[in-house]
Amino acid sequence: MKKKLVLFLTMTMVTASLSACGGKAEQTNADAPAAEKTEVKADETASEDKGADTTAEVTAEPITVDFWNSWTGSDGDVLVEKVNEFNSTNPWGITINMDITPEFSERLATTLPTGDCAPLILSGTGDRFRYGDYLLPIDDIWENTSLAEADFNENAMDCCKMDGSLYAVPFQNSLYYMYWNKDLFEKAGLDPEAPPKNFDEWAEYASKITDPDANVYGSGMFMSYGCHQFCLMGVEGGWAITKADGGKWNVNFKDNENYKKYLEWMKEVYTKGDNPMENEIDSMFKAGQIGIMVNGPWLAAGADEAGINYGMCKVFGTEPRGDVAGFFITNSATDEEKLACERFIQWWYTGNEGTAIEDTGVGVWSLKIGFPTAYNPLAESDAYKSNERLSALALDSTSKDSIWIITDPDFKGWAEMIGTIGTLAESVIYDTPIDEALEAAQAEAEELVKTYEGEDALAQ
Amino acid sequence: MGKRIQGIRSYWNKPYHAAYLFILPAAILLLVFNVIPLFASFYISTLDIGIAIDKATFVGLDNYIEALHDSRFLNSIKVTIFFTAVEVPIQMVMGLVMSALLTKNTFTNKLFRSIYFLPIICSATAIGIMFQIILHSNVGIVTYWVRMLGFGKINFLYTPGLTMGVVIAVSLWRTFGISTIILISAMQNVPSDYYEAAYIDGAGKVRQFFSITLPCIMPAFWFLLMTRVIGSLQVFDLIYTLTDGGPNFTTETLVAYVYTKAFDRGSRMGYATAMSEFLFVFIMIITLIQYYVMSKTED
Amino acid sequence: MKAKLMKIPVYILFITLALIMLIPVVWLLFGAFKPDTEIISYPPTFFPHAFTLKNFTKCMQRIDILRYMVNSIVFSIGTTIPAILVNSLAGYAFARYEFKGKDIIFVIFLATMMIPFQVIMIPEFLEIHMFGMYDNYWGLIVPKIASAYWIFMMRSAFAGLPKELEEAARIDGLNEFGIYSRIMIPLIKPAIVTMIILSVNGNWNDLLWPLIMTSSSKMRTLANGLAMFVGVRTIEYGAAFAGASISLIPMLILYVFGQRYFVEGQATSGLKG
Repeated sequence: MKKKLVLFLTMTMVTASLSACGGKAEQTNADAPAAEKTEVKADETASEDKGADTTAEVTAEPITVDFWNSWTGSDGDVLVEKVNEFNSTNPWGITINMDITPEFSERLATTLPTGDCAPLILSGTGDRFRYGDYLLPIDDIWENTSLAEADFNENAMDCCKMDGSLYAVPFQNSLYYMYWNKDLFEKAGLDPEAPPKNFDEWAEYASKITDPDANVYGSGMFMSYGCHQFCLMGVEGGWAITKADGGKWNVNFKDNENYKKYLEWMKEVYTKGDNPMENEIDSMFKAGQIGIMVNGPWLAAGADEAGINYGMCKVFGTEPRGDVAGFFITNSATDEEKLACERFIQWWYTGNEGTAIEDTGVGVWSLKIGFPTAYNPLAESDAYKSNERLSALALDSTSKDSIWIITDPDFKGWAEMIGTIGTLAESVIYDTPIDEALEAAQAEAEELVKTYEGEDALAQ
Repeated sequence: MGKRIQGIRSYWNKPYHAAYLFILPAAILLLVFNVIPLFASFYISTLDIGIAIDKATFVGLDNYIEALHDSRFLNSIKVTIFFTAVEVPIQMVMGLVMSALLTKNTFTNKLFRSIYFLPIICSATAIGIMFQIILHSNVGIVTYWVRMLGFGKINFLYTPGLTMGVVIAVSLWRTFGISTIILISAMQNVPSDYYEAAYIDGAGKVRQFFSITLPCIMPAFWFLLMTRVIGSLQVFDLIYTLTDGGPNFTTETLVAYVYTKAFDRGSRMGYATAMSEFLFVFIMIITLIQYYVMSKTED
Repeated sequence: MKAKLMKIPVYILFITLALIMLIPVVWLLFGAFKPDTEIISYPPTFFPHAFTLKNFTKCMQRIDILRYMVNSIVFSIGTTIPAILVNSLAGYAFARYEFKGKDIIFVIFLATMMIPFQVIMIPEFLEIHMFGMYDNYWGLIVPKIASAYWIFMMRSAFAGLPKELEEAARIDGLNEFGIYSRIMIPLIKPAIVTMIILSVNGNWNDLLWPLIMTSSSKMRTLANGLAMFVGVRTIEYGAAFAGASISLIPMLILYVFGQRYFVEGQATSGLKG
């Protein structure tokens, strides 16, 4: 009897759970297709938007637009804040429905072909080559909004174009800088206000700072992160893949004396024990265990919080290198959604009427988080100029090629090259002869040129 | 009419027929959601596609041929086999010993079982960050303790050779609780009169284990062995969150490499799929051998 | 006396292993109460020196924990309940019946475990999209019900039972489903409880599946929500640990609750009754 009861209960639970999820599923089912979804949500938001409608001439239907990105962590906080502000104050009745997730590329891989992707995404501008078929050209943003192309840094803009059309608007410059721990400099008897000016000084200071007993390392290079490695390697030897005549490409690893010089230098720093065999260097810098390192602006906030007394400057006084991320609009967007996205992008740079530049999205992104901007009106503002850290890192508009990292920005396989550089550095650290490692990198890069630019794209 | 229903009933009540009815729901679900995608993956492996599936060119077996010349692929196979060959036997022996010692439902046994089970309920992400920090070469607390105990500075996550051992240890740490509770639940099903009979015959604990417990839990043992082998050959999330394949690719398993090729930066879904078909065939062969041995021993 | 002495090395083994298992988890729990700067300080600390609840408040503010938790519960329990029925039925058939094609069907079932999910993810997604199951609980749950892993596990649980059981039941006049549901299922209760715990736990911690099969943030599960704190460039250790601790609690309760159902000597009582 008892057994029967148990079985009966199990069965009812099964049916109950099935019908329970059925009920819930129907609710969400109703707004599954993208078009319907916008209508449903638009109704919900219509009422609250009326109050905020300040510009009377705009009579747009309320609309909800999905916005996906992978800006997790504390950066995501700022994005959430700004998107909420936009939703409650924008005059067009637009609601941005943002979803931040670390598994970003998996989501795009599945949703782009079916048209279920979010209309608006944030991604590295190199991804224009990867997702090109699914992205919409957005040259009309200059007509549809009050933004002007001339207001953006030319170098950053170059990274947003493909075949002459615009596919992205620069959102963030992830440029790399030198950080040094002033307290450790002082302890080692060095001038805390004088960071190393060249490779020799880096090595010299590093060995002075290193203190095995206190577990302190003078130098904090990342072992296998291509971007970080190339910030230094590029200073010595320039881009790894460059344009040649006739639309062909040069690969510059093999027998490159400058790269070789850099790798020998790097290897020695490791061999002497002045650099930890480690990739999680950020934590160590924040724990006050690293003397000199190269990293993006994102380290600064954490180092401040940890109370580290540090300085930040351009690497050996050269132009900063890095990459650019941008707003993209995917072909999952309808015309109305596209316009709404463009308006959100405009709002990111200009805010509502009367918003001071430092309170706009782009302003907060630079002033609060510390990314140097590609938006000229902000770069020229007093708030930006008076920000000590940002002004030390300011982009130099005269050096046209500085902003891109590793390869010529037009090379379609640039993103894969980050891995190649990481592998090169790591294999040298683990005792592969430098010539051999460079040859392997050369072969890998040549394959990439063939894959991305065509079988005969390699200059001989 | 009633007779016909009765006829249908008695037809399906024959053990031989009922069996098909019993596997039907699972068969339909597996066919639709696993077997069909599996066949689709064979097709994808013959395509040259980037990130998204609808823009593709047919390249035949090119992806397979390329894989055989890819030294990173070959290395990842070696790493995967090494991981499995070391992790699974240790896991099985540990699981057997611990479950034999913890079968009885006493208070202390229950307590220890709960403790050993604890790691399973942590997510892979949490385990990854946690061990990255506690084993960190500089600020890691375990590294620090080891140094205080006089073993010198050990770089757990960046020493080729050692790091693989660390990955295996963390994998054991995380999953050996599962093996233990599965074996315990099998051992608890062994009828206690078997033991009583053996006790009367004067068999000691160890002999009881080998002559009664082990034969009785063989099905669970095979289940565990086969699924652990399959799982270990596919090990991914631990690698991804803990070492990311480093140092110098010494812990890059096949699925970790497949994943990198499929979703990281320059994605090549077709090539990644072709590489995993090799894994599929390999696992298939190993599993068939085990299945054959299992069927033999069970009869 | 001798037996008592023999137990000492066993207990040393138990306790050593328990410490190895516990220390990292306890460290994580303590980490949830430390500020980020202390988690990565040198020399490292085990007990929190600067005790803080900031990580938990941050966690609550940033993600809609309640909503995510509801989704996680619906997903993990909603999958597990039908999974018990479907997989135990199939496992029972493979364990106790002889039928044509048994081996080949079983191997095909097993084959579905042999390819990494990341590889069949895209075709599976397209299929689910085609069925209109994308971005709702159906798509989240139905494909996850049948699983070769659970079928195999159920098969091994049933296969371990004494052979005389069915014959006795058939003589008593039970039909086949009756034998399965009234005689066999109660006998493998420990295995069922194990399956419930592992299945709920596995789905609870699953990251990729719920993310791929849903798009709206309303459908987010807790595991996904927690991944928010692990940035590409910066990790918010404290918040991540706080989140992990929160998501650990329901599983802990489930396990402690499930423990009670591991009862000794099931099969014997079944035979006698």
